[in-house]
Amino acid sequence: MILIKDVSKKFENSLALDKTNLPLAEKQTHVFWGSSGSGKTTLLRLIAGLIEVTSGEIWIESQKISTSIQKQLAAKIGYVIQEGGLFPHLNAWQNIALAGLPRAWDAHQTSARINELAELVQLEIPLLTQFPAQLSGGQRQRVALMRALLLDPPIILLDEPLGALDPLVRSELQKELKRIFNKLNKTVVFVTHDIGEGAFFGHTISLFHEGSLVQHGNFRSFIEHPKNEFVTKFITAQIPPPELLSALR
Amino acid sequence: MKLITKLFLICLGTQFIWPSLVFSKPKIIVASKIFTESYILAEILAQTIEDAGEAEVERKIGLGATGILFESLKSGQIDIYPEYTGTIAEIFFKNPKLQDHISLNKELDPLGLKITNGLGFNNTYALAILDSEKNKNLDKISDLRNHPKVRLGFTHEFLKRNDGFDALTNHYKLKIKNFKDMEHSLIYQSLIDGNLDIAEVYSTDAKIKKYGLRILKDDLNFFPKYQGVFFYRKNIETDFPKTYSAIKDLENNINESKMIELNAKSEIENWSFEKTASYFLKKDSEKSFVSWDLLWRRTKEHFSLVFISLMAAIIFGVPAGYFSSRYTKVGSILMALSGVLQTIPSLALLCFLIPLFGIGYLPSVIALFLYALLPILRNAYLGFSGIDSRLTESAKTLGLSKLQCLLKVEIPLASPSILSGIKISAVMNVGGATLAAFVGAGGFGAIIVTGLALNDTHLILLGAVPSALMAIGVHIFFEIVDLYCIPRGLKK
Repeated sequence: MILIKDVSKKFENSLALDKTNLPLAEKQTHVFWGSSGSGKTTLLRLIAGLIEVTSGEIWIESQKISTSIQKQLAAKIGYVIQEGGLFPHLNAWQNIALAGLPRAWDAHQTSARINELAELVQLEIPLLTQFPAQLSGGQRQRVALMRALLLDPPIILLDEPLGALDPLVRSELQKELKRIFNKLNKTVVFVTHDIGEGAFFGHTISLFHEGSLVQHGNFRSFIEHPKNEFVTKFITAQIPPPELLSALR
Repeated sequence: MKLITKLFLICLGTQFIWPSLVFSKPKIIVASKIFTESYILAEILAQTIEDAGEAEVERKIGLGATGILFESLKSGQIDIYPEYTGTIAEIFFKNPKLQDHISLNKELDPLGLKITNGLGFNNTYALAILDSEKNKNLDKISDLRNHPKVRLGFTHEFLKRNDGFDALTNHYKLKIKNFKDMEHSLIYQSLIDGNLDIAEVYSTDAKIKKYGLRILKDDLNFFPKYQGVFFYRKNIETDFPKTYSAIKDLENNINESKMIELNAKSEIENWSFEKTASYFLKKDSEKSFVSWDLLWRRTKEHFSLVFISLMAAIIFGVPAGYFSSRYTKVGSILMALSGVLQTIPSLALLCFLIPLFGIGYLPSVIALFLYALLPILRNAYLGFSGIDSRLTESAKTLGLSKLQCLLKVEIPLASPSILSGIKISAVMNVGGATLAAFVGAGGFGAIIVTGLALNDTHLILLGAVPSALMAIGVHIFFEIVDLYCIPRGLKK
């Protein structure tokens, strides 16, 4: 259980997140929805202990989160940043193995775990000797996910993990990710601005706008009881053109 | 601003008057006896010391006879003068058996004095003949046994000396009945006029060349060795190591025919001793600069200047670049400072450093270090600050410690930029190090400076080409370093 209590975050003079309260249940996939600048990524970074709250508290189980315990959190939280954040000077294997360094994993242990994860994300082993620049966008995301999963953390945070992919690869990877999440049975927080992606992944969805949490619930509640005009506007913004809809019928 | 301009002008000015006035360098006093050969050797010595750049020279040319010079040397009123081994053995130790410089040095050691190895010539008594067709089968003194009727002329002194005429004829078992003792100056004329067949002469006398004479080989080693050497106070070796090694370079570099030629330049062609000495040093430098020994020494000096200053710049510049990227305020100050340093002309910078660090190796290394700093600092700064913040955040989310992050992520990512800065500085410093010669730090610049002074293009190239080659070599070296040190994933 991740508990967000009255959390605000100020950057210099701008308020990035305003008094947010949010309970995130264990072993579910939670989607943070919103346009860029809405505060969703800020909240993700706060949870990971990368930045300090201005006010309020974040708890993971019985542990209060702050930047001072960020290093300990690394074993508990797998984080996939936008576009993967793979190190260009290391090949895929070395990128993944680096996550074992703070825990002083030996080569044998690392190797066994990487083989296991490669099977999970269905990445061919030979590809792991490639450098990030030599991999496709989808392959890079799989590697980034493997890296986040290496220490088998109970929580996975993903920040727009599919944002940079073309639609076909993206939809393929969405299904793939969902399969993986189901199989792993971990607490997942998934940041996206994509309506469909949110609907597809989210047990719960939290919609952010200009630093405030606007609505929280499952996808159906957003359709049936949009809290205000902004919610309606947001969820209808990405509806396909009527021609496409009628053609699909 | 005005102050800076003034300082700069003062600095430029001092470059011209500096050797004599502004910076009082330690002094070496060079003396000589009162005859041409001694004058020339002393002047060669003086110029060599000046070129070495460690000390100023005070000339006491023509100070006096052997006794005065020896006493002055012993008491430290002079530091060095040209002498002959035979003279030292006979006059100082009254022991003609002290022939080689090792046994002489053993005797001199308690006095704090020393002689160099032979300069390459032997100025002793000798027998000379006209180098003509008629005399072509006369090569050595023992050949005279078959020519008992030759007419021999020599000085009054030679007749009387213990090692004079009688001893000579005994030693070689000659039966010469027809001999004359006469004034030294008349002997040559008599020989040329055909009144004599053989003349007793000094073996490096200019007239030997002038009159086309040939010296008979002393094949049974009768005449004592009067090898030209430099006679000096031992402290020169430790106080002026560079000067000492330059003096040592003169050893074995003046053979008899060269000494005769030099004597002739001054005596017969009326060249000044300065001109004769620089004429010799130029010829000699051409010869010795082609010598691999000297080139090797210059190469080592040059390389050491470049290497030490570069290492210092790397050790200071790369961490400074890293901190500049972390603490931007300090960084911008550092960056501005090193930028200003870069704009100071190199000679002016060297000049600024002289009052602080003296002349020679240290100020040169410091100047080169300061020049190498900017490219290394700036490129390191760019390399570290150019790292995508998402990558450092990514490293953080993996729980890497600061050190792990630095070693595994930041340094590898910044390495192409850091290495390119080092490469620029290294190549720049190879060129810059040639200027170090102006403050006596040696290197290829020393060859170029000598070449410039003598207006000798050949010599200038002998300094310039190796330094260009070294620059190319250094560049290639760093290309190879790039190949091995830049992570494969970062290469295009």
